[in-house]
Amino acid sequence: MQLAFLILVSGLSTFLFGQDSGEQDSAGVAGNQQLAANVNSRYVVERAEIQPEGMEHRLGQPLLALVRALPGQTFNSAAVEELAQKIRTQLPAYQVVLKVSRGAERERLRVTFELIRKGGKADVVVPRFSYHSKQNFTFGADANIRHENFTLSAGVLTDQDELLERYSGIRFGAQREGLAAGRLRAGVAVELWRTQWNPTVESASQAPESTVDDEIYRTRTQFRPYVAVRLFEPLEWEAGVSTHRLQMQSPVARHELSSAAYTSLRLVRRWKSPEHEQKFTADYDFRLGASTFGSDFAFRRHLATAVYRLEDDHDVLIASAMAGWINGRAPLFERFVLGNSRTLRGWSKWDVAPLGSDQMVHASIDYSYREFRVVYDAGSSRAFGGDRKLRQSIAVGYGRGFGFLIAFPLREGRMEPIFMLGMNF
Amino acid sequence: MPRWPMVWVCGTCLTAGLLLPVEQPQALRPRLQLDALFVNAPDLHVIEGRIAEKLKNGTGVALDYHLALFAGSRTIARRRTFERFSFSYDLWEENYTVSTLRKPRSAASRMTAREAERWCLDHLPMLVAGLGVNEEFWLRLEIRAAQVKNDADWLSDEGLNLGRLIDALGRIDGRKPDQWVREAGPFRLRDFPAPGRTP
Repeated sequence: MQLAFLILVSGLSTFLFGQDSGEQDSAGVAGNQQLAANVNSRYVVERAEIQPEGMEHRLGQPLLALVRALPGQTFNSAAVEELAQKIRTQLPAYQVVLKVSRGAERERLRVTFELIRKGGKADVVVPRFSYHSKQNFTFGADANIRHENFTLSAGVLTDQDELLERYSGIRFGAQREGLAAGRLRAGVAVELWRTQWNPTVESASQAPESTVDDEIYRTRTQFRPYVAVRLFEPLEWEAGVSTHRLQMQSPVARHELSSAAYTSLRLVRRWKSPEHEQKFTADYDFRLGASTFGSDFAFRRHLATAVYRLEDDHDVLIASAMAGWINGRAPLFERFVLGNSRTLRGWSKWDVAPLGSDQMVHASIDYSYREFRVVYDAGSSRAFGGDRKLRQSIAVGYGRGFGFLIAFPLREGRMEPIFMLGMNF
Repeated sequence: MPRWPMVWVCGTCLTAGLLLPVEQPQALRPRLQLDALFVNAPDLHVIEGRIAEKLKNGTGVALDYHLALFAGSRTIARRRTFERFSFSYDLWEENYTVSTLRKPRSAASRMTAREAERWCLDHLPMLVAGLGVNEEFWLRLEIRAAQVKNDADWLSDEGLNLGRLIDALGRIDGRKPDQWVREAGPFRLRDFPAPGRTP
């Protein structure tokens, strides 16, 4: 039994982190295929540098170590491109130009990562934009201003997709990156939301069997300081405190507090080859709401998600799974929701569980050929002591980044399709 | 000095230029070898500008070659052939290497830019089985730099980045994409007198 456990742990750690470094391993696979493609793969790197001089300190220690490890290695075009891409990700304010030139000695190469500061320090991102025939519009826009490693953001959002409620309002954030040799980032987020509730939720909330925790609220204000550390190259750990001040709606107007400490682990791995690209993302999130933090709600919430993506020129396959459970009584915004634009797409979340679920499992297969897309969802949830029920749906549509889907619940009897239009669902 | 002789000479040249039938050189020169057509594009040079600059920076470049044959209709292709070629530039020997990325793989090295471009076209056969000898057909060659997805895309998991979208739109207006198209025709198989010869 112990042996089997050791083999399992060993296999899992090899899968997650590779032999020495996960990224080097994956780049190596691509590199072998690149040998035939890039003729310079037969030369050895003589020198690797960041230009202009003095910019090295902007890179985190792990990335700088990868750059410094290049001299003496055989030139691997894919691995060097991958490294340039990582620098771009770490320094979004800079354009990274990769230059490979002759070294001082014959058959040696010099690799230069040239950092050029981008003209604009500010940008505007629209994180959500969709129309759902049951939920109506969801839209958000954020403005980000970056200076060195400091980012300030402000945004507006009206969202009726993610939670049981429609929440509309503004949010602000400040984040400092590049701390502790590039491994650490810290920030704070403030969000002010006004809520609107679907009549189904209002009825369920006022039903005789509902409890005080099922109460709906008029406004929700969140304050969330956090810190995130990159433990290994593909693994990041985040921890923080999420404090929500709720203005309750009935029976009398009053305020309640939901404070939770949270921690999450996030793993992202990519494999690239000339033919296709694979990406695996896994998250585990744990929240603890307790009276110790002054919270009126006491709960433990676990959520685990995993997404695998395989992409080539014409095909995209995404397989995802998630599972979550809550112990104790959580406020409505912490509960699980199935039946929106990303889960059980043929179902309405208010029909699945009008007051949310405390246990859920969901899996999805999403396949696109060129722009044509087919999605199959299956999910099961339980609403605080109710029965579990497996639900399935299928959706067809057009467009990958921006497009539409028509989703049908797979059930006996009348099937009312749900239409979705927008991006990233 | 009277100006009329100069006016007369210019007018005559202009009229002659407009009236004389000038034979336009075909953008694509096909040749038949056994049961396959191959094309040559003498005025088409892909290893220039940004592509050449990228290659001379030691980076590999992948180009997608599409050759389409139209017969009967100029809108629906009767036949197509496709190949992705990977180019790289030897920084020490200062010559080009090209390889196909689809199996069975083939490669050639120590070539000049023009030789590398020609090698790609020589590895893009268009089978003509089923095409009538008297049937008119047209050829269209399209070459495109393979799309490399990166985090600079304006639409990502984070959402729609308006700054990057404006950059992308700016590129559409201001910078030519790495794409080349050549068309030629009509041709007939009967005009190819012997294998390996152009009409």
